[in-house]
Amino acid sequence: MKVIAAMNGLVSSDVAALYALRYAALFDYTLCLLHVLNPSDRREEVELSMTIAEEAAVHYQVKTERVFLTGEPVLAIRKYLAATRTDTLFCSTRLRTQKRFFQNSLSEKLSRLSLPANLAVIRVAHVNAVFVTENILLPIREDRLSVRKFAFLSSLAKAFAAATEIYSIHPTGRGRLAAMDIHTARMLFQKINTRLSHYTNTMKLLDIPFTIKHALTGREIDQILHHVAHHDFQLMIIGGRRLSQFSGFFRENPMERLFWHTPVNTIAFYARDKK
Amino acid sequence: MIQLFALDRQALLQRLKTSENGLGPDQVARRLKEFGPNELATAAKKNYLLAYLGQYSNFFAILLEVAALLSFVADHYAPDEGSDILGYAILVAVIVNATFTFWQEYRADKAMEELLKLMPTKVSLRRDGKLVATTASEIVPGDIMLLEEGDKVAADGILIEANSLYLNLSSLTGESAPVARDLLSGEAKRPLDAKNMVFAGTTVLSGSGVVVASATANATEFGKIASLTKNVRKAITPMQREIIHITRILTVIALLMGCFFFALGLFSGKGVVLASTFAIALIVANVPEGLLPTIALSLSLASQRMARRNALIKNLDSVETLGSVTVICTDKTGTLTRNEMTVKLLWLAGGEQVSISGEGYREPGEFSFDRQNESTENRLAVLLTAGLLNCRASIDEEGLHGDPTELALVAAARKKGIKAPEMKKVQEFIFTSERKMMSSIFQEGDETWLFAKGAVEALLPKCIFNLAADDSVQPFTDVAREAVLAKAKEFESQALRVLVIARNDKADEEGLTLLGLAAIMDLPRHGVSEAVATCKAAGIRAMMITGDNPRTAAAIARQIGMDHDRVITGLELEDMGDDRLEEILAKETVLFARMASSQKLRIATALQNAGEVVAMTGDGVNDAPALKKADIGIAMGVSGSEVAKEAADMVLLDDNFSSIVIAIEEGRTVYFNVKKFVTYILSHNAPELVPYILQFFLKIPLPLSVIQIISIDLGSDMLPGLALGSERPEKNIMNRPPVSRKEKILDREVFLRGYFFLGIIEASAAMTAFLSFLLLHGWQYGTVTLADPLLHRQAMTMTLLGVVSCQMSNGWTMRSWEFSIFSLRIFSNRLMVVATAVNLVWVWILLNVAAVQKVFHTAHVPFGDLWILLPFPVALFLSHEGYKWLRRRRNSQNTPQPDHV
Repeated sequence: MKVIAAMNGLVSSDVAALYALRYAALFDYTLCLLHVLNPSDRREEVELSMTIAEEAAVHYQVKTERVFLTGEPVLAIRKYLAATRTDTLFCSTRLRTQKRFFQNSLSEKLSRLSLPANLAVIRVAHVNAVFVTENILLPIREDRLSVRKFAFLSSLAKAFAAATEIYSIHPTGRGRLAAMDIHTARMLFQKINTRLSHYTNTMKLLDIPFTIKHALTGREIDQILHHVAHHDFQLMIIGGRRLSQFSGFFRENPMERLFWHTPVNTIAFYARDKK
Repeated sequence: MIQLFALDRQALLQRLKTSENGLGPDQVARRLKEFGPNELATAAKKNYLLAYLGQYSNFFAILLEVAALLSFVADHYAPDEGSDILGYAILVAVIVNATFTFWQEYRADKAMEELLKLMPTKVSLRRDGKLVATTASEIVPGDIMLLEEGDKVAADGILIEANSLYLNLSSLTGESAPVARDLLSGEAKRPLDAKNMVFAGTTVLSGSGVVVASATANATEFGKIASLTKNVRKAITPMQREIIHITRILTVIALLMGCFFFALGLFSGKGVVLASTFAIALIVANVPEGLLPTIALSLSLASQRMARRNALIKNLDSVETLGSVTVICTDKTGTLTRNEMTVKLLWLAGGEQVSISGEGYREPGEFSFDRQNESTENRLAVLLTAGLLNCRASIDEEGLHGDPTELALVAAARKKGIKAPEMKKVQEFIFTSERKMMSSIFQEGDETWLFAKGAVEALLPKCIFNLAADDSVQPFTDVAREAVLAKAKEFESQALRVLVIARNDKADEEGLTLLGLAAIMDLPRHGVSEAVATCKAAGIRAMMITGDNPRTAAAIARQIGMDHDRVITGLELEDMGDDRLEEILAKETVLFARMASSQKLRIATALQNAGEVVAMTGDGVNDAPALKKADIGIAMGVSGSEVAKEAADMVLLDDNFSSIVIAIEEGRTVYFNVKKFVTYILSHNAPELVPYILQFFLKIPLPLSVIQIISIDLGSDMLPGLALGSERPEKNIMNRPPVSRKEKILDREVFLRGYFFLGIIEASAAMTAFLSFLLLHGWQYGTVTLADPLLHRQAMTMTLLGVVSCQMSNGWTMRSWEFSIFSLRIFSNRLMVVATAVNLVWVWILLNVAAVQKVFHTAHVPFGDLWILLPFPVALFLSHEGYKWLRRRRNSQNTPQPDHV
């Protein structure tokens, strides 16, 4: 089994490769350092990045391999994934236009495809954070947490020996929020905790420090950003599907806003296609 | 893997893919794309199109839209009844209403955007081996930043070269003492603890350094704190809740009446068209179309008045929250006091006490001595010179430079005419919070002098000699030491900050000679005592939260009349449980001393839990969460950080406590103005409804058309309504208790005063005018359809004029909620004068312009018939003034006398 780190020679792709490396080390997978040759990236820079990643891999006793592909990047990656057994593809995303991080990027194009591997799109806000990941946040809406997203969270938590927190957000209008009393809120949170209790137990078995926190809010993205800023997280994992550009078409673009404003490194996780 | 700040120089540069020569232009371009510009992202941009469209989806708008739809349906079945004109008129009303309300909000938003634009800071970078000056937004991770004294750090970074570098980290930590930076990280586990890191938003106090940028924009520590303040939306405000409440009640009344009369019309065989006309009329008559624009205008005008008085409101909704404030938690330095230190007393080591007159830094002053000998002047000069030499502050034509405490010493020396002697400064040991002292070494020929100043507890133990009364250096005995300590304590109890000044004839901070004490005071601001007294009268508790020691804080509180039941220090607060704190705050007024910024949040939360509406001041980044938490966060415009300003609801342009009290006065005024306006518009509902109800049950012609109702609601009543919204504060506004959160604008009194008292008078006026006119012109009861359409239109015009004239009178008498109109100056509300003039012109147009008459179903009425209208406005005016007189009388009887309290 392989874990792929897509590299382009930029600092953020180096950081993405380090996340991939820690993930690969946990499961004893081979780390595949992949680059699709194209005129906008410099090969010597890419190779330097690969060398740095390989040096780090030696420290974690992870096997590495270099792969250079040619052709249209999305098609080339898709073809390569189809031909290999890959657990997760890690790729970083960067500012594309003056206002866009994610839209129309290679990562976004990949996220729209039906892939035979998990996809982790990483927005690197802080280079240092990958070296000191102690707390990981996973915001979810109410109790909507898939097993695969949870598995990814617990894997990274184990890989970094980090504590985890699930931040359950209950969307509520301003009027309802003003009228809600403590008892009703408590009951609501209790219900969500009960529904998530099997994950709590699993975390206990895995010996990963774990907490669940709740929020009632009218604006999910703002609440997440506020929570991240208020606490000491070094990594945030978000579920990619629900936060795609179409989910909030008329009001905001959640993924774009999160990637733009996040003060911590953020991974948008897209689980592999079931087929 | 090792963290960046723990790496050695080469590994760090390699990890960030940079070099000592910095990044190349293409690398910079790529990284700018990779990480984005080094700017703090602002909150999500408001979609103005959606905001505008939202104005069409509130209750009133939907109600009117339904009414317009019904009009068009009625027109479809009976095309020549003029229902289409009515439909268009209602739609115009909806559009005008929505546009006006939106415009007010848009203007307020834009004004705030202008205020919050951050000026780009210039920074020095090394790129491609060359020194480059660029804007802070262009810094990327990996850039080599060059720091000099006075620079503002624009990104987080790791030092690779440092030369006696001291930073002011107060924007992150709240602690303003200089913090030394080093090339080694120490035993830090987090970037904030690493001694080799510099942080965005901090400033270089002294020294220089070369730094590799490691984080930019939101990823910096400053960015994290800043984003705390941006992303929280407060709950619905009391005024918004009230508007929803009023809207719901009036909507239910309108719909019930509309449906009831529609059904009644159908059952009584009046036909669908007539029944729906009744229903539309009753709905339109009940909807106060001008309510939302008036509230928006009232809030906007209040915020403009506040801005003129140095209180800038960022969010219009905060204006009305100000009216409910019950507790003000205020900083001391700069808000209650001037943050302008003045040396008031000097104590010479020989035993003399010297008083200095003159306040501030530039005012001249006189020196007076309690006793004097031939060497006193000389020793005083030595003391002042030592203070002058051992500081960095200066006062010149361009302004004041340096720390307020040092400026006070410079000002004292200037008052005595002392100038710094020609000596060469060779070294300086900077002030830190650990050392609590600073010293400078000077060279004069072969002689070396060290001058020191600092806190009593830090510097006095280092003194082993003193400059005695005979100008000789004598050993510093224990008795003398006790005397100095007693004197220092005496000064501190008078709210004076005490500095020990000493010197040495060698470059050593030990074995000093005591020269004397300088007692410095931060004087209270002018007008603060009066503002505190106003707060007391207004039922508002003012509490001081300061980092100063309890004695100084209590002394200042005494000077300005800020009573307190107890003093709580930061340490005591740490040991206190939340329940106990809430219990104390619910009953007692507390002075908080030796507080850290982070403790403010706890105080704000405890006060809110105790049921108080809290206004909290702050200036540092660390204050931002407390400013957000408080019901009204108030940032300092002069000394405040950008983050505090962004977190706050209000910015004080002059940092003055008095401006908070002015803002509260305006907040209360808005509340009562809206109350007056709601009463005013409810008054016209009755004369708009009664004609329809009477026409339904009695055999009379239609007294008032729907289009005429709209002409009242959105025509003649609009300007007086807006004028009421802009009314100035009433004279007893700050003698009333704060507006309770449970208090409703549409309370029993408003409802009864508007609907039944004034409304019935107006309805009587309208119907009397209508029926009297008809009877005078030969109409007989029972004739529903008049043979002469002109007579019917003239009679309807009389009804309309009856309502308009009464509302004009009502507008004037409503200017005060409980005082006589004669106690106000006529021109103090110019908008009301303009509104009256415009209404008179409007009445003339209704009577004389044919095109307008056609639209509004009016006609010319002979001047001789208009006398019928005269008694009613006068009666309404006198009745309302009489009501207010009775109200005042009842209140004065119910108010307990002071000796009964």
